[in-house]
Amino acid sequence: MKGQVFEIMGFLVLAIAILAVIVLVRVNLAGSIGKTFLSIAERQESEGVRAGVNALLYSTEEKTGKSLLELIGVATYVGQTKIDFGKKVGDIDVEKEVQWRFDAIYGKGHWLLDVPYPNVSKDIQIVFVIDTSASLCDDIKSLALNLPDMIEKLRKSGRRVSATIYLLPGGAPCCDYTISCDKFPEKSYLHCTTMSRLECKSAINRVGQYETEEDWGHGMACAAESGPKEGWEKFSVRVGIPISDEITEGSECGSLSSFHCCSSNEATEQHKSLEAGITGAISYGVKVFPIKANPCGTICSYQGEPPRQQTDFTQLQCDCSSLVSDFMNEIATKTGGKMYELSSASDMPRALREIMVSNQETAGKTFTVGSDKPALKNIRAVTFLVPLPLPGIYTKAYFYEWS
Amino acid sequence: MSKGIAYSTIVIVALLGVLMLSVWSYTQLSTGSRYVGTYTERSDEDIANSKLELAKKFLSQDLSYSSQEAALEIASNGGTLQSKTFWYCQNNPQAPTRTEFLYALSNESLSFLNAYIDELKSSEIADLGISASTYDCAGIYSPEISACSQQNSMNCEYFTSTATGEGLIKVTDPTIVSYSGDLSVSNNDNRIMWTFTRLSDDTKDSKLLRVITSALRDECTGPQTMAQKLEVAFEKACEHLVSVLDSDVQCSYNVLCESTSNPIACLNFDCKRPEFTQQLCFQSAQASSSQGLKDLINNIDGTSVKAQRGVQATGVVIQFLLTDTRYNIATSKELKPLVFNIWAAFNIAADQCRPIDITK
Repeated sequence: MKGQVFEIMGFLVLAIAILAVIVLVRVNLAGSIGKTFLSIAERQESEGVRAGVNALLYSTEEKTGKSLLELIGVATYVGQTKIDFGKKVGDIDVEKEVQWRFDAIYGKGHWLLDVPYPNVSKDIQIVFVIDTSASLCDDIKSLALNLPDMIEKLRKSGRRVSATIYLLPGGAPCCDYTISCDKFPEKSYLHCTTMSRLECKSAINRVGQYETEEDWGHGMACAAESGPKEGWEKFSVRVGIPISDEITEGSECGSLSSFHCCSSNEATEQHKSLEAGITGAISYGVKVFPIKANPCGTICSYQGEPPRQQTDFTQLQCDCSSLVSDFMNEIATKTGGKMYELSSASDMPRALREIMVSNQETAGKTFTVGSDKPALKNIRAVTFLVPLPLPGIYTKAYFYEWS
Repeated sequence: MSKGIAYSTIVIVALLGVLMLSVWSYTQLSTGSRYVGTYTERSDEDIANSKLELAKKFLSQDLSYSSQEAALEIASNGGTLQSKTFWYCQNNPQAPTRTEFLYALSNESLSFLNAYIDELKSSEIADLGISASTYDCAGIYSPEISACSQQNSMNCEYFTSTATGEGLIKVTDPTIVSYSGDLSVSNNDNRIMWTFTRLSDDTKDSKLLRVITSALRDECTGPQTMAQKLEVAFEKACEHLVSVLDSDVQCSYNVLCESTSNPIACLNFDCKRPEFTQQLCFQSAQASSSQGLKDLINNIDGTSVKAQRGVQATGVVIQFLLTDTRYNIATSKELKPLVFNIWAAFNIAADQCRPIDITK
């Protein structure tokens, strides 16, 4: 009887021990192995996606010899997916290049690549070339009143803006001041200098008589060559702003008895001065944003001998207004800038603000290729850094893939 | 009794078996866990090494951008570090030597590359624990001169640049690894080497001035003014420059000074470059002697381009802009073509109809 009890208890203990082992194995061993397999599978999937994207981004596009990553960087930077690489290579549609490669690996509708534009803030260096004739009295006064504050505010908001003012040879006596650099107090970011002669390698004076105080064409060429006081920085946005109400070298041609508007003909000295300005600006990568002051209405200056107060522009200057617009539009268009036309001196701050804002690097569109991410799907994501042609600037590429 | 003991023994043996099985299972479980870690986690060194590889790739990319940007700038200068390079000065050809040209490219590339590296400190790359120090030398290696002298640029549309010296790429997170080797990249789709070589060869024989004077001679009996004749001559000069290069290059010019009444007024400045004596910081197989300067030839089909005494002359300072539309190059500002500028300052005789005997 006792032996039977031991026997039954023994089997009972054995059964419990076996059950315990089974439960242990079931819960821990199988679970752990399962987890191991799951982790490995996940890791492999994620590494697989990463390796796939890596291989694709570093693959070479045949026509340009550039990697897809470089092309995406350039496309993101220039803000367009179709890039003109010149006559031999032609246009490269980066979106299309990415599309067919990723489709081939991940399948159509199973991936998305998002590359947002980087938050770029480049230095803005401005050179002003200012007509110093009497008709600019009110405009220069407005510039002197507003420019320092405007730059200071931008600098406080983190924008690195600086300006160098070049006054063309001359300097008219206005009613309440004389046009000179005294109107522009020297600051670390604001400098003013008077051009004594318009002679520089880009614009060696033609021998002959002409007005220098309005010659903003040669003036722009020399200002672009000389650069701002601190010199052109390597990666800055370079802006040239001529301010005048006449064409280069003056709008009025002819003799005293028969003054008329100068011709817009390309052979004229006036147009050659403009061309010198355009060439000089282009050579130094300067975008020109001319500000056209109003050549009509009244001014207040002391002129003549003995000096006496004058209150009117000449009618001819007013009549030549459209010629001034043509000249200014030409230099703006050819250098990638824009002309601003003032109806009065009080418009000066608005024009300056617009020029500065338009030259801040603005966010371009996000480079997005692929399909929208589906809901309720297991999505694998990897992130890559994309280098841009700008030093120290990278953007991130976000890649999503799903089954 | 013995039967009961026998059953008990079996149970004890079975229990021992179960116990051993449990121990074995536990061991296996531990081993499995270890494998989970091994399989699914990357070591710190792996992570640091992959960051280092990333940094090397990005710095190589930066070197390429730097070299391309330097090429654009040096081409815009006319082949040297000077902002205006006069290839003809007072009627004498003075093309930059190959060494001077490579030196300029090397210096400018290095300057751009180190500017890129300086900016890394405040970039997202720095956030990854990656840092880099500046390099001492950027090497510029051109294809063979013989390839670049050909009319067809096919074999001379690239150059290689290297970064050597004290540059060090260092990763500090999650562990420290570093790379102190050199960087090297090939800069494709850039014809600066070809353009420079072709223009240098052309300048050795003063061909540009010969074309200008020849064109003036053709126009000598015409009723046009000297300025108009010069315009025609400059157009011909542009055609010549395009023929030296190819039809993908567009030529334009900018007359900076032109004076018949007082030629000295235009030429009263020093356009002569001193002899180039700097050493390259890299070994260049193609850095030849100043052959261009030694080969100065100032004769034009038996006539001299210099004005004769008493003959009306015109002083000219001109800039030729050669825009290579074949490739657009990505820069820190935009995509733009290579523009090679050359400046010339010369005094030209108005009376080109009269043959001039240079033997006198």
